[in-house]
Amino acid sequence: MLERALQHYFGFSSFRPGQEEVIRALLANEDVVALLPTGTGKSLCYQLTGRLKEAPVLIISPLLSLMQDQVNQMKKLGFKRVVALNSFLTREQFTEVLANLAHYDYIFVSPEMLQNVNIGRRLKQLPFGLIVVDEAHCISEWGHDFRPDYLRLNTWLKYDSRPPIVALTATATSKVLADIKDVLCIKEASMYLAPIDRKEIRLARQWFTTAQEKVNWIEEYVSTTLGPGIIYTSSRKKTEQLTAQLRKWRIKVAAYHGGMTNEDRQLIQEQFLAAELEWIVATSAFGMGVHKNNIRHVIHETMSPTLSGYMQEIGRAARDGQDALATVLCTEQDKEVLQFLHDTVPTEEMVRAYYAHVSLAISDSNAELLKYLYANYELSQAIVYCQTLKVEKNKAFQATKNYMETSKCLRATLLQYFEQATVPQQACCTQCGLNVEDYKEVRKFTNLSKQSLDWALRLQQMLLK
Amino acid sequence: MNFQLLVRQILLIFNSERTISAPYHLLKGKKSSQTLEDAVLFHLQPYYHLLPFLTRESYDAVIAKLCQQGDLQLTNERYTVKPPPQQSSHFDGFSYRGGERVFFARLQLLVQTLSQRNAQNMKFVPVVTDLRIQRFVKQFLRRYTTASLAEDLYKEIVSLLADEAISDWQRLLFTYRLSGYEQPAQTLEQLASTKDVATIDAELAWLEALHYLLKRVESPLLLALLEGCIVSEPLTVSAAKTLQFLAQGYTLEQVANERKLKLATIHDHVIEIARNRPTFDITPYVEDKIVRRVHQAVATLKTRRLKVLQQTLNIDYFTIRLALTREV
Repeated sequence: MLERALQHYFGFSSFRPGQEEVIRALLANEDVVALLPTGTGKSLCYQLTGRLKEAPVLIISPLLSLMQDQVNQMKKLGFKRVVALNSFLTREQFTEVLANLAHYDYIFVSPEMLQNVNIGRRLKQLPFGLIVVDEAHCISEWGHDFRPDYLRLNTWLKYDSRPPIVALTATATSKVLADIKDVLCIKEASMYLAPIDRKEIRLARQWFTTAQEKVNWIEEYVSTTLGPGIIYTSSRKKTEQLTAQLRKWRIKVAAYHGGMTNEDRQLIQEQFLAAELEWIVATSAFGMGVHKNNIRHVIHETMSPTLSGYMQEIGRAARDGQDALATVLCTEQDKEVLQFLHDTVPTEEMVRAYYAHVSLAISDSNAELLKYLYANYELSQAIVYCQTLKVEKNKAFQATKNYMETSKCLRATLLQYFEQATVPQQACCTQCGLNVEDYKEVRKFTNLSKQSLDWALRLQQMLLK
Repeated sequence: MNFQLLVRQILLIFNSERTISAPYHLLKGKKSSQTLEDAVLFHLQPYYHLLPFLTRESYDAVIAKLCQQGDLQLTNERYTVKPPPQQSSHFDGFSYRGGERVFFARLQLLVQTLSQRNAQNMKFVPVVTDLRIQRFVKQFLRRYTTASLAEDLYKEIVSLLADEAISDWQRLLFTYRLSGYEQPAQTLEQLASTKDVATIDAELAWLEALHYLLKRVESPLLLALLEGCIVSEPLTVSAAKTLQFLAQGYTLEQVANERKLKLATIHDHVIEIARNRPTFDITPYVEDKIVRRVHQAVATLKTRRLKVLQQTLNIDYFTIRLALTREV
């Protein structure tokens, strides 16, 4: 019966691993924590459950840009009554949406919005069949994307007619999973932990002495290898420089970063999807909401700050189940930069100064954290909190560094961090004898002709049948 | 006209009578009375509100570049700029004030929708996220229901773009920024890179074409898309209200009291009205002979700097500004 519904609403004949179990539990009104790797159709779990329960669904989502993308994608799939309640709406639109809440089947909301007493109360009056906490790892300060606002969810979620909750995440350590259950007060929740290993993604690592050598290597790689592929770099400026460099080879490449307008980012995604672009040079802003199945290469010009982040980024490859290569490029300097990135927890002096209302120059993320601590904890607790956080951050850094340095199997190192075991496989990683050339398709035409543009033809193609 | 030349042109016209930042505010379309007044006073209306998304960073970068090239010299509070080569442009920022971008966004969404409809695939992510634009296009499609809509629109665009005053480059910028079924638009940055020009220069070329073409639209569909995009009432809502009170015989102080606004704000309104309505009688607020004195001072001192005029004439700023609106 479930499969027939899947076929009916989505046109798929079978579920991906994990989906069916999660949906069954939700239909039985159980609370669920589900760890489903990127690309395995997390959103289908609540979309289908909503349809089957014939009740509206509330989706709490921490990232504004992701929320907009989810709404777009659902509309594209044919779900019409979908809305996002967030700060993108103008005041009039907001009033309009709020007045017609009962009209919607799927309501996306940011955690901040739930703190608004009026909105929070209005939402509780709706007969939701399910509450989704998306990107649930953001709840935990041990996760890689902590949002203090998420912690306040637990007060809002305590009400009598509350429907079942499903907490969804793609990466989480056991500590994070425990936090999720704690904060959401769903101690009895069923757990679905899909194996996060993606064996079709082959892992490669390459060492260099200078940053310039990496650039040369990327040029060589991209100009001789067929995409589609993503190159992750650590800054907006680098995405632009590298793109300019690669364009010289007449490669169909574009930059993607958070500094671009939403419209431009959307266009780049669609061009990539339509194979008008072969390579994307991006910051970590690229990824969520990229629904391309045949990405063959993910190159990290700089290692992601955390293994959770790395796992999500490489997870964008090989959604079609065919082989793909994930390569990380390393230099000694990268390790120092990483260390610096992890060294950002407020020090004891900063905490004391903040509590004593002494003004001090701190980063935005520290300011946010201190504000949260101040509102919820005594000074001594806050100090301990920051010390623990520092220890955890250091562990995360050590794990990332270890991935860059280890002489052991890369896959085993990666999975160990998530406390999962590896299944031995052929051509697993460069430490286990992977020959990357076996997984690269050679580009036949290295010197592609310059794209010719014809305005009249383009108009014809767009508007005439 | 590229960005560097544009900034040089504006700096030249300001003739060091305004700060180095004045062109920035003008291009951004700052709504302060100083910027609006300057636009009229210096006949810089064409460039007003051309680049509402210009960042201070990129403006400062071009100023630095001009200095480095020796086209511009900064000396405390003043500057000297090398006159750019003479060239005409079709810009008319004052008449659009962002309306040209609204028009184009409507067109983008309409073309995308029609293209998807032709392909019989209505599942798509709209290229324009602005809900007002989405609502407009929805209403448009309810009004125009002929089967040949896409073809009619095609013909209208082709005949508009046939105008010889615009270049093939501008035609590319116009058409490749439209999205169709399985044909996502190119970003300005991408189009600029095909010609090795800066993104902002591509944007200016696109804007110039729009400013020129939109005034020549005579076909029904494009005219309907243009609805409300060209400013016909140049007064701000607030200034228009002040004008109503003045017409009923209120004094400036009375208007300020009645509207619970500062007198200075009402003064700004009067200037705005005088500037935009050549027939507006300013004599109740400034005597004719004072107006003439101000005009004489401008001629002898060869400057429109308010500070200089104020110090020489010892008349208040409001009176001077008002007199300047009637300068021949």
